[in-house]
Amino acid sequence: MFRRKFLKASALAGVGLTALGVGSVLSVRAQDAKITADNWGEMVGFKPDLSVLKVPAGTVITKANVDQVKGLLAPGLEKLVRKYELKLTITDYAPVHPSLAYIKATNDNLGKAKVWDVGKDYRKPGWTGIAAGLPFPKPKDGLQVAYNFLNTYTGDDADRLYDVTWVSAKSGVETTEYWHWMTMKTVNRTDIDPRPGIDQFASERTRSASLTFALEPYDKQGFGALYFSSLDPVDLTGHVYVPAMRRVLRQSFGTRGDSWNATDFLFEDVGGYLGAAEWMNWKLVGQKTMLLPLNSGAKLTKDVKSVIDLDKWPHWNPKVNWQARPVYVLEATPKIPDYPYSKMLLLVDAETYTVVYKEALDKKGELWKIILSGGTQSPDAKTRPMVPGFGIALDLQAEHATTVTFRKFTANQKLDPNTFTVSNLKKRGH
Amino acid sequence: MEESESAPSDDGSSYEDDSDHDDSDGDDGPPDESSFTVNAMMKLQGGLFAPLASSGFKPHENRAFIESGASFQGPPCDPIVTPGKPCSPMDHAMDPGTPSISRATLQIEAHWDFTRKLSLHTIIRGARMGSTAADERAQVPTLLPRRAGETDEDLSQRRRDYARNWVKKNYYDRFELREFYLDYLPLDWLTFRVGRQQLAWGETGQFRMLDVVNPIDSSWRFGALESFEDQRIPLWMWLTTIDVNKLSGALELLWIPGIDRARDMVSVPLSNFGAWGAPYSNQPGTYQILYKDFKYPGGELNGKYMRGGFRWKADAGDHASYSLVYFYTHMQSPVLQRANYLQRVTSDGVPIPDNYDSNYAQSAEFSFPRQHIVGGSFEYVLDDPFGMTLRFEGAFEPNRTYSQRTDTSGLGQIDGISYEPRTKPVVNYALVIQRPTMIRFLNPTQNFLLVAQFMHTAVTDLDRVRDSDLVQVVGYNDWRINKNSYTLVFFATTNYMRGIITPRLTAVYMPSPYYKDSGFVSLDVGFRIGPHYRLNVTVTDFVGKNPYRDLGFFRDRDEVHGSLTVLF
Repeated sequence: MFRRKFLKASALAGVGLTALGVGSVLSVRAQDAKITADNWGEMVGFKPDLSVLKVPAGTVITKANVDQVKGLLAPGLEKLVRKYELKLTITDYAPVHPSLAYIKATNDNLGKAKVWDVGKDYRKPGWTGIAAGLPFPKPKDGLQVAYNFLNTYTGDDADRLYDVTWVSAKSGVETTEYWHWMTMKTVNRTDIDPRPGIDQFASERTRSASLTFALEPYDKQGFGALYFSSLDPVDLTGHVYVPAMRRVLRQSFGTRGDSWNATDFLFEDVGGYLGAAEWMNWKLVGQKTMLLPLNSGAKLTKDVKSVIDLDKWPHWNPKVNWQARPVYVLEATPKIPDYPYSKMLLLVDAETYTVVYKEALDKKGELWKIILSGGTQSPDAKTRPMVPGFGIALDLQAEHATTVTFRKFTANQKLDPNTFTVSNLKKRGH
Repeated sequence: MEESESAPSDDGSSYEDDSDHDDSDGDDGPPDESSFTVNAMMKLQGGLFAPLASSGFKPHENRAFIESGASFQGPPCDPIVTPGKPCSPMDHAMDPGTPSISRATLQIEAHWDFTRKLSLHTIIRGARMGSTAADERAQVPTLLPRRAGETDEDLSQRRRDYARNWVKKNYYDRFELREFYLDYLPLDWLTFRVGRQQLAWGETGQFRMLDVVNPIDSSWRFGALESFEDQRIPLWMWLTTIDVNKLSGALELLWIPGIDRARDMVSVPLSNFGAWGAPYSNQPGTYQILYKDFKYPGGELNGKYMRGGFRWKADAGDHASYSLVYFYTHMQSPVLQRANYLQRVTSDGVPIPDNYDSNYAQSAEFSFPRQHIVGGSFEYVLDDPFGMTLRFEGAFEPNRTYSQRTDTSGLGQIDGISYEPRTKPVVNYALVIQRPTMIRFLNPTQNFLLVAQFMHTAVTDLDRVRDSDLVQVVGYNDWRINKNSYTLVFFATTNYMRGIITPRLTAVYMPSPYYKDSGFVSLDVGFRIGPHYRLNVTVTDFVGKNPYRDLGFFRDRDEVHGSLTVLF
């Protein structure tokens, strides 16, 4: 039922499905012309139709005037405005592009990538030729969009300090945790040496390395995890450090629909979708201009309340900016048996190829969760990625949410690959 | 827009919000900057002994009888008055409702990152415990002799009072610098950790095969129900870690100088305390020990007290890890070397030459012999559809030392008995299967972590006849060494309401082909109450047909336990 409404909304907005033929033509055009920072958006996606937005910048959309932006909001977002007091502060559209090195790599590797549907063999790789840069400018289908956001520009390494807050519509803030998370791309690097890959990870076909550990509260402090994602559609592998045991243990990580750290996020919800493209059936529903909190203006701060309205019911609403964005509407249905979501609807920003918004349906097809995130402009877009602003996983059925806000973020700081070792995990755990 | 590649600045790009960032408290700066953090927690624990299902909700009786021969059961006796033959306990129960623990703990943990290469970590812990009735039955090192004209009742009460006070003084009220160590990283691949610390080797959860560096103090509660982190006795150590990234591993070199307080160099003997201690033996020796003289291996800088070892731990591909361990140490539990009879004296107090009372040992000498431990571990992750981690951990002890029984063994001499504890090669290994598993009809959103462990201990050259005088625990004379011992563990946990409720189920079973099986089942439910409070309620049911073997020791100690932790 919900899915039908969503599809209908897309159709009513005058955006048809991306026809195969049109996509092919666009791909040819993308290969003919050089992609630059200035034309990035229209060359890799499409220009937003700003005429559909009838309210000026500065307008605050509430349940009183939400009809003025009808058709520009996903159904779940509209529900948040109408029922859960979400307010949207409208700002002007501002284009976003990746680093110049990433753009160059996109040009250099244009046309090399090929992907295919692996069907039921979702543990077998369904791609070849994906190198640095965006693999599929002007994507033809949902699968290509999926590979685009899985290979989108995030810088070559990043270091974050962030707060996690559990909130309930009934009782407000339940608890908070404070975490540190470092990541490093190990292949298809564009910005910093070694490029394009780090040799010591090559033999294991590692895509990226992560090291994360809890800083607060005391009973969680020191817990850490070191894990590696693969170029192949297999589960994460890695180690955890358990302070109560003072040991590093090898761990099979929950990537089959487990929640992360007892939050409303599944592991794969982090960043919109963190799983493998092969695990889902992807369908490009359409492309349209919609309101999303990209360029959200969310500050890096330890004052969570300045980003999330923790004081006012329902205690999870972000206090950020929204703008009209070019969006690919993507539908994903899981191939993995017993996956908790029956279907996911993702709004993928057509410039940044980030999953800014996701609706997840339960087994009955009812709206269960909304995943929302929004970064802000990079201080130096030529060399560095956008700054993460906030993330929210909202369980509408339980009226419960988990929010993530950031205190600090650095990128492309030349993290030492030896940071991502078991020995270092143990040292950092005390 | 001009299109040119520009490299990021050398210091990386920091997108920190300057208006909001305040490094003065250090809690929001990156870890590679100077920072100082302090955390603390206060924990209140209380528990009661309560007979549960395995006991039919009926208490066991605490009984002892004068015994003569295998079949004769005489009148009741008090093992506190007569901690030796002929008084033999039949059981050692505590009355239902008797406190099992009352403990308050305050722990403060501080960490200074002076620079990226230098940091200091410290943990200070203070604990106060209330005495329990069971402490009166602790088998403390000193046995008060009977005073002239003292009745059995008076003697028993005096010994009970003494034991209770001794336990409280020595183990229950603490203020200790648990950890205090400096981390220094002179090179990217070299780290020194110097100071009082814990070091855990090995990969299995419930067993301590390679986790043998720190001794254990489980004086306040049954060890399996408390974390090893809280039970380990930190020692002063020098740990050198050499990262060998080309081999995806690290070599740890350990030196323990042995300068800790002597008694802290070994695990606290189970007989030294009450509620969770070892009961009076049902097969006591022929003499009563007036003073247990533990020759603790430590307390000064001396080669004979030093310990050392190494561990190499590395990844073997992206699915496997392994470790190799060697450690040269001392036995962690005591071995009886000699009992010195009480010399008789004249009425004037003058010792009578060559005249000894064989009913009493003036002292019994216990040692902690040297021991080698060598072993390794292996972990492997099986991908979907198995989605599990397999672990193996094994240890070989070529010279574990066992005591002889105290009632019939030893070389009798006029002034005492000299024992001949013997070393045996011992092999331990454990297999562990760990799997996060979605059981959606029980929990639709969060997986269950399921862990199954199997452990086997084999005393390889044990001869049932020749070695029939060797016992597992000194003083428990009918607890002979088993050639093979097995332990099975099952553990499951999940959480509900996004971590607000966390149940944990632990079951341990020790099958015994020679004697009687034993084990326990423990259900703990944790509640997260806001950011600062944690409440846990635990119910533990011990089973064991033999009250003097394995976990049967605790069959009368079914417990209902609660704890409240406040985090600062």
